[in-house]
Amino acid sequence: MGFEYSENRIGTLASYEDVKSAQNMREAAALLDAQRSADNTLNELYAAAQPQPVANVESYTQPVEAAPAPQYSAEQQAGISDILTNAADWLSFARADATSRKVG
Amino acid sequence: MTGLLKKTLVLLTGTEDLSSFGFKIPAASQKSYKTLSKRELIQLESEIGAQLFGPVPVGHHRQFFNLDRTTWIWYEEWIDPETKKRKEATIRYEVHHNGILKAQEGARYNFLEGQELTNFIAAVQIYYERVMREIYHRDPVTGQKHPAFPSASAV
Repeated sequence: MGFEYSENRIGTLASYEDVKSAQNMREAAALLDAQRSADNTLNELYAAAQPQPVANVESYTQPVEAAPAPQYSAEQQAGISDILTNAADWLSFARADATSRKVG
Repeated sequence: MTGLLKKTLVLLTGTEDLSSFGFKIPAASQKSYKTLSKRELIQLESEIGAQLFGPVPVGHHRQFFNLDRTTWIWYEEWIDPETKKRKEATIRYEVHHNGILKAQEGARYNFLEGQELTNFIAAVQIYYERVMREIYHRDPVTGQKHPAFPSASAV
């Protein structure tokens, strides 16, 4: 299959290493629980997802360039994107295989 | 096979041991994945995805799932306790080569950064690992069908 994680490209993201090394669902869930109890940031992510009182239904028309720049280096961002798209590719493959449809 | 059909067979055969007649009654949970559409598979995935961000508040319905190779969706709906009206929020996470763009209603955009970015990566990784194991019965590292799990196509 040739699927490989690009962990060497995002060495600063320790939590990813922890997740990758999780051998089963229980470990992964424990990791998530520990992370949540440690800094509660997942709850912050949830809170940030809530609509603002003045939110309207305008669609996503703001150009991408208008968003604030991320903090990671270009190489790190590329590594992160590689990991996420690789995972999505495998999910797509698994779906296609499960439904006996051709991939791509 | 439904309970009604089983009862009918029991009446016809006069015994509850239907296996002796070659009848095999599959459990409802053993519905073949081959009968599920891509959309239905994503719905199954989203049930796992909804568990990744902590308990879902009472009265809320949450979905988190991978839509395509560059898009992840967080959808949540709930009843406003004051107005009793249904509310919903959809957040789209777009994987760009230069970052993860979080797009919300109201033309609000920002690239994930810092801890939120780390959390998103962790959530995606756990989603991937759980979905591959629990739904597609594949080793999340190699992508190969895992010998410890029954083949999805054989279910």
